[in-house]
Amino acid sequence: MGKKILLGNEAIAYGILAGGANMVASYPGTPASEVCEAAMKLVKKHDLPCHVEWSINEKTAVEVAYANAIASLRSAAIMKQVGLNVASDPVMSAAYMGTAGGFLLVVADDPGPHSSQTEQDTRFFAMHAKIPVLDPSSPEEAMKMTIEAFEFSEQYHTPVILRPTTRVCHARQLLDLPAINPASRQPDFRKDPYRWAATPGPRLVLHKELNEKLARIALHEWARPKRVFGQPGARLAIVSSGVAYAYIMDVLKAFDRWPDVCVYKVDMPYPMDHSLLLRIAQAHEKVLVVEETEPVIEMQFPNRERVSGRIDGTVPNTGELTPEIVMRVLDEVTGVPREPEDGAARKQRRPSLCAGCGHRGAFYAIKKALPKGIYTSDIGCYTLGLNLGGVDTCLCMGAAVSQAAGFYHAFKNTVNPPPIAAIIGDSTYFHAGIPPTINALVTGARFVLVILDNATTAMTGHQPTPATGCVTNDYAGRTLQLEEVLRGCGVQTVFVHDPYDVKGFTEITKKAYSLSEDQGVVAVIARHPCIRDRQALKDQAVYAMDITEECTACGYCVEQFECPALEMGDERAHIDPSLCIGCGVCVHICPHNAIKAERRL
Amino acid sequence: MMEPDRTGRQVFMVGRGGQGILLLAKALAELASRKGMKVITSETHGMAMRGGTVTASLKIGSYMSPLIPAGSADMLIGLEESEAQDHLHMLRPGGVSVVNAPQQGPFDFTVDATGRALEMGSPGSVNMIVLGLAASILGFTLPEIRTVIQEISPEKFVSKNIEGVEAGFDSRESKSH
Ligand code: SF4
Ligand code: SF4
Repeated sequence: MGKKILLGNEAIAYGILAGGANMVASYPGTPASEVCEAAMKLVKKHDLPCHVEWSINEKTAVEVAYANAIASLRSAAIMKQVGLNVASDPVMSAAYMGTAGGFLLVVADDPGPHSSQTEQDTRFFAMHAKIPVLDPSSPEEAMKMTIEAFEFSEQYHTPVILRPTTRVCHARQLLDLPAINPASRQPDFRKDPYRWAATPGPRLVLHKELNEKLARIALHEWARPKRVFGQPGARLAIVSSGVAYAYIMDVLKAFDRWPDVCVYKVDMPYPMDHSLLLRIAQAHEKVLVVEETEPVIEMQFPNRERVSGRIDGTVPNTGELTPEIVMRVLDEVTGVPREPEDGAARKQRRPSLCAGCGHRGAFYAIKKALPKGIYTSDIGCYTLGLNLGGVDTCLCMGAAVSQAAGFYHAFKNTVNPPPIAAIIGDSTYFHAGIPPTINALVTGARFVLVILDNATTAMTGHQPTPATGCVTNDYAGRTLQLEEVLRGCGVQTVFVHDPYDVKGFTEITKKAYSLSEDQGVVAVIARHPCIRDRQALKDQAVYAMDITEECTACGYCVEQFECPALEMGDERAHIDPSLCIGCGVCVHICPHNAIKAERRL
Repeated sequence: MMEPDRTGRQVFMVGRGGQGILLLAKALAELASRKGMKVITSETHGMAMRGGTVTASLKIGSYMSPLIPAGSADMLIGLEESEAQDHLHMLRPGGVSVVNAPQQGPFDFTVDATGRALEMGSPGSVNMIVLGLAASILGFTLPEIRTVIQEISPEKFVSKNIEGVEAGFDSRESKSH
């Protein structure tokens, strides 16, 4: 089918469809988002009999996809590592029950972390859940493993996890495209309540069966580390998997200062053939395990006397591995003297909400309306509201709402309880905000629930939401507006306002807070489309901006409003024309009326 | 022991989120792969794309991993001057920097892409102007670049982008005269 440069995540999507999947379900999250996106495009392009959906959350994605798999079809559920936390309930059980059709979980880890709350290692989770896990080192390998994973899953009747990391997901490589043939299987659900609906008694039987299965899988060739470089008697054996393995190979090829080294590659870090690990530990003077992000392979060595890695601190136990770190570790282990590193700290520019982002006005207005308040917030672009003092907490998806209730109960008997605002995005609200809203109302909590509605899942690249519709490849299904959902949860008053009108939004937030005394939770929907949506941007008014000499260089706008286009000069603030989108909102921020806007047509 | 392989080419790119570094990286990868070379790239997605420091790397040759160790890039491409300055340590001795900057400064090749883009009435073309210059230094021809841009740009931006790479490509010629 020819060659093409593919992003790691696109390569996985090709693998899923070449592997004959009839269903793909996902919730977006960096670094996993592009897998489902690419699958949706391929399914449309090749007109494949495959249902692709952006599910409301990862738990739902797994459950939908799993049903398809126990109906003997092939399924893939895709998420980022913290998404697996949300989906952990069905995943843990699915391991016991097994599967009829191939069932692949693609769970992308984010060592660094670059765009996540944790650096958790899904390979550990896989061990905890007793599910085989594959650790690809490149887009090419990710595609190959994905295709083979479906057969493997059916051979052993087990779910399989593919665990790419950010550097695999977001690498591009020139690849041979696999043939994609429409899957021709028909669904076949064999009723077996002792498996698919097992109560505790039969679960014990399933657990035994699972252990036996894992013992058999540990004899599969994937479970055996393979020597891919150097001599069998080398003094130092490096055991590695994932992209860390690719760094090792590249630095060994580029520099020849580490003699007498061999490399074992691990494809499947769990389950592994422990007898082979024992033999490796006996055959070499030293063993170095290089893996991301936890010592999963290292821990499985039955004898660790000669083994070093993350446990003994030879490899740093936080942060992403890089070629530089790998080289430093190799130098240390082999005793090669090192040139002192230049210790210059590198500046990294912090990210911020885009110039002209509607969220900025909402945060500013909430701070004005509820000064000295507690602002619980959530996961998305708007977490960046912390730059302007509008975000006090960010725990996990949906926690803005539950934490607002928790803070309310914590402070309710104090003399002057602080006003509380829960600030959450539209997609996040659908994902995990609904049960905590009901919970807050029935427990008598009081706060303003602000939903930042930009009609998209912006952070991860603009996936649809239940309110925008089009969450599947065939456009089936209805749309569901936030207002309907909120009222259904028992919220009596729902305001909707454009946060570009900062003054109006401030007034409404104040009103919402006073109403909350009687009504508990009052909602304010801050509705302004994401300005990265080019169509929406076209539809909005554009202003020519200017800062006049009335500017006193007080810096208020830069600090309190933090638009990246606003910068402080010596004498006055400036607007960077290459960043400013002319939204005109900052006009209302300057206390000296120094910012002027003129409507452009 | 394998012979050390130093035949490859490694290009490190840096800019700020929103400047279009991904399209730049993709274009260079396409250009190289169309000459029959193996390529692997790495890019930043997610949170950092909101105005933070964004980096990308392109490795041409028989590499397995997508990241470039500090001190080994053959070329540093900077879409923004201060970011480029902060990443000069990525270059190997003798490596060249290609930067969007109004003045030469510590860099090897510069073009005032921000200024040119504003003149052209498309402030978003900075990445394409710098791409034009970098691609010419890497030895690609204008027709090759045009073909790739045509294929990978969103339809609406094809002509703007081509205008951008042409401006960048020509900026080098005018300098050497
Ligand atoms: S524009 Fe207004 S807020 Fe900004 S620094 Fe000048 S006077 Fe202060
Ligand atoms: S008009 Fe003001 S707030 Fe809007 S993008 Fe320009 S500088 Fe930022």
